[in-house]
Amino acid sequence: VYPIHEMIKLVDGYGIFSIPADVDDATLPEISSELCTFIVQHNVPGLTFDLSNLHSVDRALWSALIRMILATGSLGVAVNTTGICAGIASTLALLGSDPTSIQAFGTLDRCMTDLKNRSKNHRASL
Amino acid sequence: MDLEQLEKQENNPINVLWDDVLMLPVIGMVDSKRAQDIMDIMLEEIERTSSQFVIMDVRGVVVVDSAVANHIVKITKATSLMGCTTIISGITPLVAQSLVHLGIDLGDIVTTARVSDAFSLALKKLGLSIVKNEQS
Repeated sequence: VYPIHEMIKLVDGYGIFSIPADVDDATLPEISSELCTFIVQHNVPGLTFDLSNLHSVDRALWSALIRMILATGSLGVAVNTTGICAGIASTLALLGSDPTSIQAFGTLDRCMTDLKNRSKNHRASL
Repeated sequence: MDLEQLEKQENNPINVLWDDVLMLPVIGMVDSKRAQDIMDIMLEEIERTSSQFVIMDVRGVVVVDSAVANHIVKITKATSLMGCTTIISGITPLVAQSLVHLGIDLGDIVTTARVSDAFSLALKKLGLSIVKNEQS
């Protein structure tokens, strides 16, 4: 069992999930499962995936990350990402990755502002 | 800084046009190597400045064919992963027509004819506007 409580930080009720530097595609599904459980249990309205600890990705790891992000989003939670470095962005572009499935921001502040706006709008529409 | 890096920067001069807005004029031929250099320079600058918009002006590109368009799409995708929107400016009527005739789909990429339109668009998205001073 992964210590999700230690990996996720709550700020004003919104989550910031830092992807560990040593993560691999084999362990991500389990982390994803734990994360989804945490979100439901704590009623987290929005989550930012912080990828700043990652310095390289391959196709398998990126696919696993996207699946985790999509799984989280399917819970009805506003989700976005930050911290993608130039090297990873370049690699993903060369791999032909489609960035439309994620909403990325350059800074954590912008991420949190976007999360708050989106979850407000989402609640207003309910 | 090594000679190769210096040459890369000289050939692809990226500037901060405004807070959160970068601009890179592209002049000459764009092949795979040049496209990779442009992408590297842009991504490094976005990482350094956390800019939200980058204007890539392609008016000076000799030929805009499907290969160049594919490079542009790749660069745009890479910048969006870093939270930065790329606006392509300098699309001439000839280029616009040839892109359509070649069946090139630029997808959601924002394109403008003039740099000023691209800049205005970026400012608008940032919630900024330029107003004329009444005294002048």
